[in-house]
Amino acid sequence: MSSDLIVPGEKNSRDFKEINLRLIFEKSTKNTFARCQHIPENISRDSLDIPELSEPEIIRHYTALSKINFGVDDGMYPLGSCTMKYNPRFTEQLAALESNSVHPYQDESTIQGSLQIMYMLKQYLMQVCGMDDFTLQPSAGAQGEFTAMAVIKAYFDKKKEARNEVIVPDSAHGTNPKSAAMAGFDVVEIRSDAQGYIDLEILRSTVSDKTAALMLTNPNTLGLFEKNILEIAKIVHDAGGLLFYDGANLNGIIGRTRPGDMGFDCMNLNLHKTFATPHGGGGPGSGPVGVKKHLAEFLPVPAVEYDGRKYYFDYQRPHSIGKVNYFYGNYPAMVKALGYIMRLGWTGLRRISEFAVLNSNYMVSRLSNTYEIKHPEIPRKHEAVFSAVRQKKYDVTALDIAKRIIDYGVHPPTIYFPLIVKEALMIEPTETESKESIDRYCDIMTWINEEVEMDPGIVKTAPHNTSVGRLDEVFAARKMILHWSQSE
Amino acid sequence: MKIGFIVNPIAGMGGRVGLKGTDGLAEVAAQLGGEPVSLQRAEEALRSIEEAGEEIVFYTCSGPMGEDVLRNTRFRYEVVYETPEKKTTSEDTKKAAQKMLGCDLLLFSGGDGTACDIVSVVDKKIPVLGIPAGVKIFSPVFCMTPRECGRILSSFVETAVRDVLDIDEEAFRNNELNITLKGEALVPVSSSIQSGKEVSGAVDAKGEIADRIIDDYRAEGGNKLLILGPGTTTMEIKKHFGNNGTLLGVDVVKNGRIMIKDAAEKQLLEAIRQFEGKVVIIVSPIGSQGFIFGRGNQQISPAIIRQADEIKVIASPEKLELTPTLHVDTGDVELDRRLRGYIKVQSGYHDFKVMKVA
Repeated sequence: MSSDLIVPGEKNSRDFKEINLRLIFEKSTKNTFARCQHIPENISRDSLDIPELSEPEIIRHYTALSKINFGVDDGMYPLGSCTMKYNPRFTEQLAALESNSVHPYQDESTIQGSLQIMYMLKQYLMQVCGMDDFTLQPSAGAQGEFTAMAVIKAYFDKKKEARNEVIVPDSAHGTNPKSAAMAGFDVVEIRSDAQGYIDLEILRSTVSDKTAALMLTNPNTLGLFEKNILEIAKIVHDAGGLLFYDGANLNGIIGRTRPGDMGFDCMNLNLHKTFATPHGGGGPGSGPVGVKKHLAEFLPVPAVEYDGRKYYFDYQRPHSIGKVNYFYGNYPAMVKALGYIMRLGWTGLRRISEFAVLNSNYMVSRLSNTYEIKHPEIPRKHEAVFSAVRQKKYDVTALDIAKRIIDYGVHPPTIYFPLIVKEALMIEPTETESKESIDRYCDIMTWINEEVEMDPGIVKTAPHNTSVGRLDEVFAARKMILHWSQSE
Repeated sequence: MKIGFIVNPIAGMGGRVGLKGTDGLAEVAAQLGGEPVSLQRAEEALRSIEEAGEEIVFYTCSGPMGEDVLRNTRFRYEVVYETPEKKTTSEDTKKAAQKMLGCDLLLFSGGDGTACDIVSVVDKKIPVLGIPAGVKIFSPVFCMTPRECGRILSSFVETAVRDVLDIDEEAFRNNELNITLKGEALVPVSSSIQSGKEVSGAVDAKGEIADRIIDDYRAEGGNKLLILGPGTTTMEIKKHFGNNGTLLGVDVVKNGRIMIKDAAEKQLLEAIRQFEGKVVIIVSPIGSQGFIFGRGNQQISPAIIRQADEIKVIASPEKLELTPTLHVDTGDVELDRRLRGYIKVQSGYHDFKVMKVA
């Protein structure tokens, strides 16, 4: 073996990239630290399988990792259905100020300001969504869905109606059917029509005296607004069922229309998508659930209420489903959401949907000649789903295109979702992107299509400009290594 | 990876000359000018495997049943079965398959007939994958195209149990589609490893469906007569009621166990006559053509369907993916009309899908 050859994994490797990518365990040097003399023999142990590095080495390790990471603060991150929009920094300051000074075990009389924040947020969310009450307890969107399903179950239990079916369209978020099943319902999936809307004929023939609810996202995951929503609501209500609105992402309609006005009986929100909390690893979520009057008595306890003199936790709700969180929910996210709503005001909230919708339709107009999209003439809301079927003719898949996008310094869209679109590329620019950054993104998508036609190999083997190239996912799945050990 | 490789050299010969199959008609097909397509399709498949760059050693048959194709590739191979000089028959396919049971997978080029021969020997001992070269390709054990073969072999992580079907060629030549289930095979599942957002991984759907049926049966005190149609999905239920269930027949469950196996229409009518509780028919569409009545389960006749209190249709999500519409052809026009519309098909413990019956 030649002496100047760089051997990956060797201690004296000359490849700085390779060194940076080593696991913290691989960087560890055995017996760096001697046993502390002050710990008595009988309570000290001989070995502990943790990496042995000094403080600066640890700082360097994680700093190196942060440099090869990518977030919405680095560039455009149009992950469809995830709403990776920019979250203004002032909300972070508010949350840091407020959240560090309170403790959930404090007496109500000492946290009146915090209770006021929760109460005010609840009132604003009721106005924004057209609901009559809200709980702020759930800590995530799916937990919000589950809470709403549990509320619906409690409602029918009290009415002594044996309704055990929840209808879900095939374009739904994957968590919808799981949340319904978790609450003990059977899930009945219905097929969308050719344009991607709810098929009214199928819906009519599916509802029955077993129907507890229809779970619906509007605009749906194709970015389309269900134009027949009032008719849909009537069909379900006439059969005795309820309507649940998946409001994980409200960016497409906020300030324009409200789930309550569309006929929905209950809904969830993701504060971490629409209301200025970073997510996708950037921070814990919050999934408040809103309900109309007839469901309010079933919401989790405690509810935050105001009696004209003081704010308090109300536990006196005998039909409540109980608690869905150990304490009161993810408080910093609530502070951020309230600050965001108050800063923007009604006019600002309307502008969110204005720009979110304008941006996605502008993107459709730029890309619809290059990537297949069904019915480009129908206006989209906040997102649009393209398909890479044209590129598939060159043996290039949506996955290949997504990997190639990374080479241009931006984040790929969501791929292979929703399942009803083959080779799906689901793009959500969000309202916080400028025309310039959307143009740049569309240029990149267009260049990649040219590459597909001229030299598909470069797309199929992407990414090329990253710290690590294409990962062998099949190998990873066939031979799973889930923890580090010396021998491997 | 060690792969067994069998080419049925006469498969597909009848197709171009309009024979709708080559079973027992190889010579007629040849006289009519039919040319073997199997070798050429196998070559295409092997090229795609070469491109996928998998490290593979093949175990094959001499001459036209494998070696002739492998000789022109860069793959290492070993001949484990001597192909007879004169014409080959289905017996050769079976004998060769027997020699390949030690492989990680068996790849074959042929049609439904070849698949049936191979599965009669291999069963579910090792996974199989078909290169579509026959005239009839109804079993979901084939790649969509030979070119897809390489991608499947280099990307599969899991296997799934699939139906192996064959159709009656005599009837098919008279434009009648009479599909029967011949067995089960283990097939590599190549569906996206990089699964879509918020989509859970594959689950044992057939097991889940069976669990739910059993739970409901017990919860209602077991006072039901279950008429279980053929297929791998219903077989999962039959297993719960004893070890005498049949994969290909219609079985009847009474008092918590299988009372009649492989029942004929007459026996079914008699069982219903003697029973006082609810009568439930449970069927699964065969393969991807979607018939729930009138194909492969004609024992469940119009008279029986009319007496049922409930009809349950069950199918794994995978099968439903391949089945856009369900069909009925009971032979009774009025009944068919009644059965058409929309039906809830059970596809998991809590999961149902509304399907159109055309």
